Amino acid sequence: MKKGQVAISIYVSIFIFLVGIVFINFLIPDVTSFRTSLNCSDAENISDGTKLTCLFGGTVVPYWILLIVSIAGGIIINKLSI
Amino acid sequence: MKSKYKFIILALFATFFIVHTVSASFYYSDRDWMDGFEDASINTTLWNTTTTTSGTCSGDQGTQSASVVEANDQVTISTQANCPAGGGSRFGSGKFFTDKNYNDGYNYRIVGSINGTITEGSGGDSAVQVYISYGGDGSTDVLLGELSEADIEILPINYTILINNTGAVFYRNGTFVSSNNLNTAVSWNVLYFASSSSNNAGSSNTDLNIYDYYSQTSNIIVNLTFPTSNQSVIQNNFNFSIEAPLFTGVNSTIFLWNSSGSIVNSTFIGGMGSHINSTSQNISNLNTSGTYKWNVFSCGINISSSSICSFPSANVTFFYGMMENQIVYNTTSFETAFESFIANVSSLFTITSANFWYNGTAYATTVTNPASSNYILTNSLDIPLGSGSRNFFWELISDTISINTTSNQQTVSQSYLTLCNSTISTTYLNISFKNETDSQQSVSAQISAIINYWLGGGTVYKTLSYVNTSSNPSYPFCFSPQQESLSTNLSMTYSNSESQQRAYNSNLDLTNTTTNKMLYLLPTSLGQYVTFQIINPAEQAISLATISINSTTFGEIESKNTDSSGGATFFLNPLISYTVTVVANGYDSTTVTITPTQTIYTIQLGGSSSDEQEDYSRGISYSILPSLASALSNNTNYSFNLTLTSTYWNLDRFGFSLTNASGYYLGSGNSTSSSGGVVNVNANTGNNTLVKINYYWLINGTYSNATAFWTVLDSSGDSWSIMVFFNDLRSYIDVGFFGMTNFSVSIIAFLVIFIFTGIFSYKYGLNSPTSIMALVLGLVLFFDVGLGIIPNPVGAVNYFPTIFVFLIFIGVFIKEVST
Repeated sequence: MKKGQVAISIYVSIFIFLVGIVFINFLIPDVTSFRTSLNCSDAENISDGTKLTCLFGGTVVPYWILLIVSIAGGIIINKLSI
Repeated sequence: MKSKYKFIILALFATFFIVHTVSASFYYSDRDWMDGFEDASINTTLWNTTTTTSGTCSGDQGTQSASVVEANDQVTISTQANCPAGGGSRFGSGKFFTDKNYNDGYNYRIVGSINGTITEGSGGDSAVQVYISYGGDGSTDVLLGELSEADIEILPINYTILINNTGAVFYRNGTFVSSNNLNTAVSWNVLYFASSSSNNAGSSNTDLNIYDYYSQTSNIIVNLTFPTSNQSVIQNNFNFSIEAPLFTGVNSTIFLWNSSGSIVNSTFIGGMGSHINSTSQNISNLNTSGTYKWNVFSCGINISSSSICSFPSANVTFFYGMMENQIVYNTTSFETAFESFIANVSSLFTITSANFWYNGTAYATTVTNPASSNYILTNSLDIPLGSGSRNFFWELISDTISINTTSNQQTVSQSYLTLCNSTISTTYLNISFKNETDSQQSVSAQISAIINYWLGGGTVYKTLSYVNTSSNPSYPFCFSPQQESLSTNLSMTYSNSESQQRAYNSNLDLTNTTTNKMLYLLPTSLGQYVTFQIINPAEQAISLATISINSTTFGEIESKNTDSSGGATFFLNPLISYTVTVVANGYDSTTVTITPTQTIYTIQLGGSSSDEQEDYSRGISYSILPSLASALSNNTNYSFNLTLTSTYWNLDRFGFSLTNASGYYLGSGNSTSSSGGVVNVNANTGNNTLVKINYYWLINGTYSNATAFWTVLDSSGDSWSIMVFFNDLRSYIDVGFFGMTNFSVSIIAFLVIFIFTGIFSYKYGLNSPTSIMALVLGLVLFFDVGLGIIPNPVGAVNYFPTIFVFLIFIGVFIKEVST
């Protein structure tokens, strides 16, 4: 395993991480408007299906963060383990 | 008619014509004339024909008389005269409207009648005549008109005389008789008398009646009666009068200007035609306090059909909005006396403060407001030095204007204390001397005295400095004004050739009942100097302590103040017992009895006047909610609480105020409970980033306070966080989510823990019970404490599942370690 490949993988993972974090700013308003339009805060007056939809919608950003961290971390770990 | 009846009638007539003696005396009378006019300058004078006639009334003049009667709205001058043979030209007369000025600006109209009879002698003519005359008694008169000629049958006569600044016009029975010019150089009179031609006897018995008199001004006279110049008023009424006799179509216009010269109001009043017309007009739109000017413009048509207008040359300045009801003060006073000045005013503006100006010096005034527009201004002061007339007034101050009350005067006389003399001889204080020996001989002494004296409170006082280097047995001090009581502060030294100097300091209240003060001198051969050193408990010298030496035999001996080293020296008899009293500010006074065999004595005063530093936090405990350790959320209502308890002090007040980071006020609350309590304020954090609380308590006028703050977190925009997921899950389960209950959720949590633990154990080879229990503990901790979705048994402590699993974990760990 060449050292250069490790370094490149680190650069790539960092790039992917930063791009992914920046992309979160585009997700947040959509998630907010999604929850506002479904009135997710008013638990008493929405249907169970809507509640389930709100729960899934509320996990988009955490899933995206987890995805970015997994990809970036996976690239690095993969190169280190080779 | 039968002849006998004719005779009777003639006899009656004859009897009726009685010859009377004309009074030789002159007299004047002032009459109230008709039509509302009063003219005190109208004098009626009746004179002795012998002195006033230009001719000779020789022989027996018989009796002559005259009288003046005012009744039934007319004045009647009755004259009777008899001039026997020899004749005379005029008799039985009088004069009226005397000494009128040619250019007095008035026009006159006199209307009356002449009744009675005139009996003429043979061959003569008799007449009644009315003159406008120059000069006093008719001797130099100039006939300007006559009303009748001889003949008794002519009477009665109705006459009218018009007199203006040009001349006089006479009318008889409505017919013009004559008009004549007046002599501008002299004053004129109107004369009336009966006359006969020369050398003929005659008699008269006539009444000159005057029942209509007008004195018409050539202009309309306007008198502004209220408000007057520089008057302060609160009424809206304006009073004025006009004099416009014989004018028609008289009207007036009231003009009102503000201090800028702008017209505030002009009010027209018509139909004012009359001789004198007084009116009061209300100006309704006068409602702003301030300085104004007013005047009245009047116009009318005079008897010459000319339009005459009158506008007083000077506008009247007044102040609207304040009126003085009463001012109470003593008109006379004395230097240094205590005087009170009280003003009761009504004001339409709010008086926020006032200054009392006395002789050019301002003093703050106590203002009270017993009723809505009524104010009481009170000042008390000691009269400053100086005699004479002192002006004073109050300066009333509001938010917008300032106005002074009228100036009053107080006459201040001198107050004077001096050695008695021939002028000031009421002895108030007499100082004399004796030896401090058994025989107590009266002795003489020289003194140097400074006496501060005052009549009032002592803030103003006069000083008498008196030094006499020659010895005298006594010194009488007299005071003027002798009826006043006097307060003094006396500081003097006295000595003579045989004795050492002593000092006497005292505050004396003196009256005109002489206060006799005996001072004692100790002969030099009998005494010694004794020094008293005054110290405090810290053995520090106390300066300006007053040491008084008294003797049971002689009374007060001497008193002095200690110097900067805390010492004072006295000349005392070492064989006599003295009582020494020491008084100093901030220390307990001390009295000792000594026989001064030593030359130095040290006296320690106990106590200290310094206030202990109080601990106003003693017994104070408090708590604040929400907890200062927690952060607040923005745009959220919170109930801010201060719970404070005082177990030692009585609280005057406690509370707190809330502000944001910029100091912007958010709310406050306080309580006056003396033992403490709870103060609650509801406030919204808004978009602030910080909320600061300043809490305090007040004890005995001393504030103790402290400050703390909460951080305010912006909870907006976090709808994407995983916390929101679990918050929503919890809230959805609470209200119902696909029929799940707390039990079903706990089953799900159990399954997740079970499966997750199994996967981890299988995948990563976790065989150790301890490690497995640690994993289970972590998951239980997450679901219970973190998410709160594991139900807690009823009655159990919070987070019981976590605690329970933790205890199991500890047991497993101990077992594995011991194994």
